[in-house]
Amino acid sequence: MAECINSESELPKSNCASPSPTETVCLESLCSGNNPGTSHDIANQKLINFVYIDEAKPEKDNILSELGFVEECDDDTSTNKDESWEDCIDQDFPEELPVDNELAVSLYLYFSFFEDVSSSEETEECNANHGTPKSSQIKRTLNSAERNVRKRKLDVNNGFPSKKVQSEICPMSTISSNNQCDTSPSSLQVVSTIVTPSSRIRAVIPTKDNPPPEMSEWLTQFTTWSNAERIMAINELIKCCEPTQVRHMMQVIEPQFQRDFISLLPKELALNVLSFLEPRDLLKAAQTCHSWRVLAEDNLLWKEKCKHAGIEEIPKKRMSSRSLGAHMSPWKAAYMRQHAIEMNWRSKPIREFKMLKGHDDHVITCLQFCGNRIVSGSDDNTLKVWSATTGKCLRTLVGHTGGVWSSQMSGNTIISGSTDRTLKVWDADTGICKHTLYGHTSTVRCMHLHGTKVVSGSRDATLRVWDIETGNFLHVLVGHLAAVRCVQYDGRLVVSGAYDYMVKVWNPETEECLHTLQGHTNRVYSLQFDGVHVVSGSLDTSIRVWEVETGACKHTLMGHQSLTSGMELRNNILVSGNADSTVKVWDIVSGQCLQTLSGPFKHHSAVTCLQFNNRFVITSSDDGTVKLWDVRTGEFIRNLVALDSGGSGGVVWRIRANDTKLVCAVGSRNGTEETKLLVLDFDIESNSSSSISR
Amino acid sequence: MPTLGTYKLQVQEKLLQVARLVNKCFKTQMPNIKLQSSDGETFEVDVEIAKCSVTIKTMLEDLGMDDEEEEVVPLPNVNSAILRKVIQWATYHKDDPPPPEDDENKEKRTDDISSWDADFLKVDQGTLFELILAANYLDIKGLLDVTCKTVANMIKGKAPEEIRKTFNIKNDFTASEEEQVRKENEWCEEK
Repeated sequence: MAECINSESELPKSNCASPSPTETVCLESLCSGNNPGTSHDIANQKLINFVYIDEAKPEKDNILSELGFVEECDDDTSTNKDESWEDCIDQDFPEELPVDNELAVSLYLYFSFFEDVSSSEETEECNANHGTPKSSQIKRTLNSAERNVRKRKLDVNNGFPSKKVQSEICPMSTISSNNQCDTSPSSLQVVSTIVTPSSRIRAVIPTKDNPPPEMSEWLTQFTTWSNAERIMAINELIKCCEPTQVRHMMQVIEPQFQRDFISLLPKELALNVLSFLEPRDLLKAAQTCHSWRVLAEDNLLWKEKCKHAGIEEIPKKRMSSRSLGAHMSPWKAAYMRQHAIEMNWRSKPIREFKMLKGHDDHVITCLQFCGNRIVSGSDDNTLKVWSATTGKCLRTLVGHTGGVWSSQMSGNTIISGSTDRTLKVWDADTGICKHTLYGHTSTVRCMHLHGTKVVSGSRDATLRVWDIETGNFLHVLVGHLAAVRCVQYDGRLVVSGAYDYMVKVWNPETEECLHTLQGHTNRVYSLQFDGVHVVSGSLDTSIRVWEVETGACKHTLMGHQSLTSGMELRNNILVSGNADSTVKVWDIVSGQCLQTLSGPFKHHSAVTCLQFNNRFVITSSDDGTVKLWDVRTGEFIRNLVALDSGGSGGVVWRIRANDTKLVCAVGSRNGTEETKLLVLDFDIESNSSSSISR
Repeated sequence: MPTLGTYKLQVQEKLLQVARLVNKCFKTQMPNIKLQSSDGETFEVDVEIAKCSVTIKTMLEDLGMDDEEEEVVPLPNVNSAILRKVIQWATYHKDDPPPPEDDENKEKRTDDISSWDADFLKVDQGTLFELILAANYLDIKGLLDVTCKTVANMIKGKAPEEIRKTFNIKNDFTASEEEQVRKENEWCEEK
């Protein structure tokens, strides 16, 4: 019965007017095991039809004749039941329907039973016998079964209905529903029961192929009832069940009300459901079965997940079809890779890092990291170009006659600014100095490159605009009253911060100062500019947010206690590192401080540098550590670097990171820590990558 | 110069006009429409409620439904039990603001189902299944969203075996496939 339900979960059958699930169950059990499309199947449908029709008689005759049964019996059946039935059997069963013998027997048994069921006496007996083993079962061939039927019929001279016949009819549905029997009539086995009132022990434990003999009769009875009657019967049945049986009933019925939404819904709706799942749940869903796996692998679904995770494009290299299973969605692969990398940053043991030694005991003042190339500038008058993968020093850029204090890099072009008052443009591949830019009258302390133009700020209180391809001087911006400490250039406007406490907005083409942003009460050390907002950090402990078009001060961000040395601005989120050893995350539109990265694991000394993406903030400090924080929650995640010399002189001056690598410039002023670069790799390892993408 | 009597008459006339107008407004504002389910049952519904279904709305616009006509909209894909539920949902939500356009950048949430909707969707999976199909066919975005979210919530946080149990899914992977799928879908957890 349970199998019936499982195999056929869709409800109504066309020829029964919207039956309740229970009705369907019974119908299913009646026709279970029939091969669809066989004549047996059709016959069973007829049976079912028959069951449903109250005025059964004409219909019954109709079916009989349709199936090639005995026209001549028709009249007799109504007049002289007993005889005519016997006649029918004798005449028709063996010869006329050799192929459908089995069916004929079934039908015959069925109809005779049908005539019978009205007998309340029988029903009672059936009930009384329910559940108590009472009879042995004998298997016979069809012919013997027929003979049996006939014999028994003849035995029962006391007319119709008869107890004996009734009980023998029980296996009827076994015959018609037994698949094995369907294949060849000659091998057909009929299970019939001989009831001897004295022996009421059943030899066999009931199985599907071998049910209790009264069961089909019992079920057939059920199917003749109306909906209300059935419901009443079910209620009564449940009442007389043991709790374990009711529980079993529930287990059987429950799946009827379950739906495999993802497999059964139209694809776009299934995908709509899945789109509400988070990646981790999608991965679990993919493991349930084949059809779920296919849908949970949908490329567009994962593209959306990537979008939310800030993954804008599929990494082209490496993650090609070679290393992936052919079916793996490229966006899913990208997401999985990113997640694995994130876990490497967050929690996996940090792999041994590369140590890039150079610049002797001098300070590394500036650091650039792009692609596979690292450029370090030092007050030893040189810059060094390193390979991030091998850790080898590729070039040493020699030529400045004073310490290098600022640099920029784009492609294979490097620009450096020095205390020797010049800028130099270098070819990173060859190490050749392409141009030396003369003009400033003091140290070049800051610069910002945009396209082929670089803007430099100097202790001489001016800014100069240069073309790095030709090496030509283009413009000079004069107006500050003290050293220019920081500069930003977006290709249109130049913004500069200086020791005169001023921030100025310039049009470099006209060399005109558009706005002087006044408000800071001490030197301005850091700037960020996104084309709309200017953010300035000062020794006066405040950070100010200005509108570049009007020059109005939108917000004064208070909270830090010292000099804001480094800032980064992206999508209206500002992260500021301060000499007070804390880092703060701000919303510059509202002026709210969103997070303060402090607490028990905070830096113990001034924050020297920072970088953030949409997950993490990485900060470095004079305390010799590099720390990883969660940008959303402000929680400390872990130390990425902790120098042994931290606290005794070892410091981290500068950091630069991309998605998978972190470069740190470390050293000391007292000789406790040798000057060097550390390169940490958080990429998925080749072997772990294969396990993820296999 | 009108006398007081004619003035009174004029006022009465105006009042009557207003009353007629008001009456007309009410009449034309709240017409009903008949929806017929697949099994032939007819439901009379306020047009405005029925129009939360874009399918019905478009149908009415295309047909140029006249208020006076007793038109029946056949819905051959929705049976009466489900249509009754849909109407119940639409009636409760008739004053909701129009659903926002799908913002691709918005994170898809499933924890924002109202308690009324959650109660409304405490139904067996078969009913929920048919509600999704009906919401899709009738193009009722709010109902489609909330039903799909409900199913998503049934999946969330479950292990594969628990998901199978929830939806009566047969595990049709071979042992080796299962192992491969498991590896492929391994989620690195934070340690």
